[in-house]
Amino acid sequence: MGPLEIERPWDSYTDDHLGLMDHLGIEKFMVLGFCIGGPFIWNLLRRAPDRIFSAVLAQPVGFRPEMPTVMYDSGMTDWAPELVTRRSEITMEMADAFLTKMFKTNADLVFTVTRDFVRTCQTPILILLDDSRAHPYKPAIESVLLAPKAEVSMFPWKQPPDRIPLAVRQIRSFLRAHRPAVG
Amino acid sequence: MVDPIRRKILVTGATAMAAAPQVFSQPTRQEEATGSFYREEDVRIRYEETGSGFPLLLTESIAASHQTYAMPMAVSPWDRSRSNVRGIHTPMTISV
Repeated sequence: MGPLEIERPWDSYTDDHLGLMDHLGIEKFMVLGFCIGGPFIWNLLRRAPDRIFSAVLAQPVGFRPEMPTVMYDSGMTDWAPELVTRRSEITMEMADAFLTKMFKTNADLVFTVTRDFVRTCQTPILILLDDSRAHPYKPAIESVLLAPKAEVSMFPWKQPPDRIPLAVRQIRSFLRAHRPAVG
Repeated sequence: MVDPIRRKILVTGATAMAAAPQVFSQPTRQEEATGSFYREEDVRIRYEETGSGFPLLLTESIAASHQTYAMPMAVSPWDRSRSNVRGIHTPMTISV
């Protein structure tokens, strides 16, 4: 819990991730995230590339040009009302401004980084593809194609359910391959 | 290190956050029972740790809407007995 930083929503989350790692005395780490964790991870890779050994982005959020406000809309429908109920000092207007900055300002690809950044990202990443409203296929596969050290899951990996263990196995293998050797 | 900009903002109150003191109240008994807390200025972050070994930050990994997939994928991959990974999980809502 913390302040609603309307002018820098993505970076405020990244501050918290890095702050937590600092608090725990962790300099280098791997990261795995679902959904909105995708843009969070890209921002971590941009802000702290030397601290992250590898990253797994599962069904990441991305920008969908044919539904440009889908993330903003779902935030205003689901996330914001719950937040405002729980945090009396936050208004819907503030949540609107926060979500507008997150999802309508510079809306493209994965929201938090540019294609130029993705092209130069030297961190090994694994992306598990999806194609739902909030997790569009196109920006995810474009990221895979751009990032020089990207790997990709089969698609779909959630259906039928007997594919999920294969995705889990791929995550295990990827994380094992991209972390320091155990002494 | 944490971006100093954020901490400066927190100190000066230069954002539109309108941070009322009661917002940053102490965690509830239920919250305390479910994890550890990292506190920095007005930020309070709950986190959980499991296993030991190289750190793996799990962000948004156990969001309710993804529980079906998150649990087998986020928990199994670092199988504590075999993969020597220290999992650090932060919940869905970190800053807000």
